[in-house]
Amino acid sequence: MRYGLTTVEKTSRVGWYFAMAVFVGMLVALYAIKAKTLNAKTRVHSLEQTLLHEKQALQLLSAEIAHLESPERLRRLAKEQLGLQPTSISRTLTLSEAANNLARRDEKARAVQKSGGAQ
Amino acid sequence: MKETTPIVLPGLASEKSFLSNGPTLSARDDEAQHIRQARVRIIMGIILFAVFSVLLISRLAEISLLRAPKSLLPMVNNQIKTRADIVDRNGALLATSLDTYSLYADPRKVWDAVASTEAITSVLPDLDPATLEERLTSGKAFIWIKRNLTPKERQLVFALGLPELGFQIEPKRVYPRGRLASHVLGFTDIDLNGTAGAERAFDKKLSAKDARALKLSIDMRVQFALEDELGAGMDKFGAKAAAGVVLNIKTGELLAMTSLPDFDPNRSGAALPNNRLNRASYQLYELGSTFKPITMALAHETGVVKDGEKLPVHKKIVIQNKSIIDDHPVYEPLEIYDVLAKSSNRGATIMALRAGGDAQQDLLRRLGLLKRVPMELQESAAPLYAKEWQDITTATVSYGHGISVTPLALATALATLLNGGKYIAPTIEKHKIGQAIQFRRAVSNATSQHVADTMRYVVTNGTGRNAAVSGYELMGKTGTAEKLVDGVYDKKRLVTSFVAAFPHNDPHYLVYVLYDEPKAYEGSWGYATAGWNAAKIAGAVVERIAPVLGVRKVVKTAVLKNGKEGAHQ
Repeated sequence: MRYGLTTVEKTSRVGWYFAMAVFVGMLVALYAIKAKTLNAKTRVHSLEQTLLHEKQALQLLSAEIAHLESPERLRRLAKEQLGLQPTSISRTLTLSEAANNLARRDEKARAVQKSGGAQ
Repeated sequence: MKETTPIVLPGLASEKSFLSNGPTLSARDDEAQHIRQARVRIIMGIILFAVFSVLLISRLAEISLLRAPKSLLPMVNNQIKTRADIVDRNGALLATSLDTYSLYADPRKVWDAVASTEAITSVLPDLDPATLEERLTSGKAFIWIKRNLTPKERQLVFALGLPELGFQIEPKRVYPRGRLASHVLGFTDIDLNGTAGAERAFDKKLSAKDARALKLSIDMRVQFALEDELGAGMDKFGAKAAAGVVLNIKTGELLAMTSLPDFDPNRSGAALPNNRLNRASYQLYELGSTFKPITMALAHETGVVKDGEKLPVHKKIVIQNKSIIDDHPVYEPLEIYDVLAKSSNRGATIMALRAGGDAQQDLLRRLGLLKRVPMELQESAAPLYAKEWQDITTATVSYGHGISVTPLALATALATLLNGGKYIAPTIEKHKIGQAIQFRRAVSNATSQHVADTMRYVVTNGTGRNAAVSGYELMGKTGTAEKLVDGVYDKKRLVTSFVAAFPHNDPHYLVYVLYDEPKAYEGSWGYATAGWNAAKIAGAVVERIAPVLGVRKVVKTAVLKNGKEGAHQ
């Protein structure tokens, strides 16, 4: 007649419980990691969506800016609002031209002075 | 017979008890049998439950632990086609793709087609109700209702709340500058495939994954100035059409190219074929006297005209019973500079005949005029000329008749004559910094200088005086050609053109302007020739673009008859 377990049986049962506990623990850990990963993926997806929306918004803004600064529109506004028109080449001066003009003006002034002095 | 179960009376534990030899009482025990059967059922139930539980747990484990999660938003179409932007040489945006919503329907879910049609057409009035109703009752699984909705339209449709309708995100090609450079940019179809212009030429490059913006050689500011001046001239001269090209003759880069009338690439489907035609690179013209600089180069290359020699342009020239006539009658022999300045057809004929047809063809070949222009755009037409090159062909080609080329082809050939004699194929793609420029020598440097000098003389002393821009040492040549109508040259239907290049001391840019059937206007004294229209506009274009391009203004310029500068700066 047997009243208890042998030492070997006790050890194997404890080992079995331990293995089960480890297995369940691993399952729980795996589940937790999985859930965490899923959450992280959801966040990545959400960030990607936000990034995409921002990019689209940026692209739309670039297109709007390009439209607003299109030469045809600016010319129309400049003409209607400010009365501006393309500059004629005769209205531009290079530095050497300006220097020439100044020299000519000085020469004229000297000539006038001279003639005034002679009178 | 039903088996009986022996009943053992209490105290008579079993047959093998101490009373084993005594009498036994056998009786049927239905209750025990039922209990046994019930036990079997219970065990079966427990086994089934266990199996089911194991399956359930396995499935849960498989779903929660092993399976990868599906797309979080299965309703969103993640595979959206992309297309890179197109920008000008300074990075200004010319074409981009924006995400829009396209409306579709599942006709199987339509409850009341008439009501749905009424609701949809109330917010999208451009749809045909009859067609829409027919399509909604087609029983198909998917039909497009309208693509590329505006945000407002989308909101209105959304507010209808019809279950059969859905949206799909689709990119749309947008050209924020409207008509600007429409012929260069081209357009795409609704599925974003390039069908014309740069969109077609660089289709693969633009639709590649993660492609970067395509940088064109076009300068938006130059393009606008060209279009603006050309358009103003077209209105003033009542011309049927116009074309223009601005070329960097040192690199072959096209800074601007336009064709009028033009179109809005945002609504390319609505544009007339006539407006979509790129006259600068795809329309053939007999371009007239703008060909004469080529004849000057031919004479210089072959040495058929001596220095200071006067050509007998005042005498009649008849070839194969056809008389060569000058538009500007001359009554005395002319030097080579004056042949070009007075645009003498006879002078050009004399030089070409002296050089010979073979030499002429050879030069035209070297200048790329006997083939289509080798550029990225598909819209580049091959020239038309006589198969049999006779003396009359040599004569007429010398002054730009008997051969039809595109304005771009002639601009490229003239650029070759002015850039030191190097033929550089034109391009609409911006050169990278340090990129080697491919070229082949077409004429000598001395010939190039000679052509530049004679063309400068045309602007200071000849038919191109109306193009002169103070301070930019313009070189140029007018061209007025009669159009061939039903085999006869019509004197009233002209094609006028002007080629301008600047600055003379170091030619860098070339402007080519063409008008198709311009009319005389107030102040032109009844003339509709190139000097009165194309030359003026070319000058106006140079005046606007030279400062933008950073060309230094020359303070004082006096040109002698031999084309040399008397004094400058």
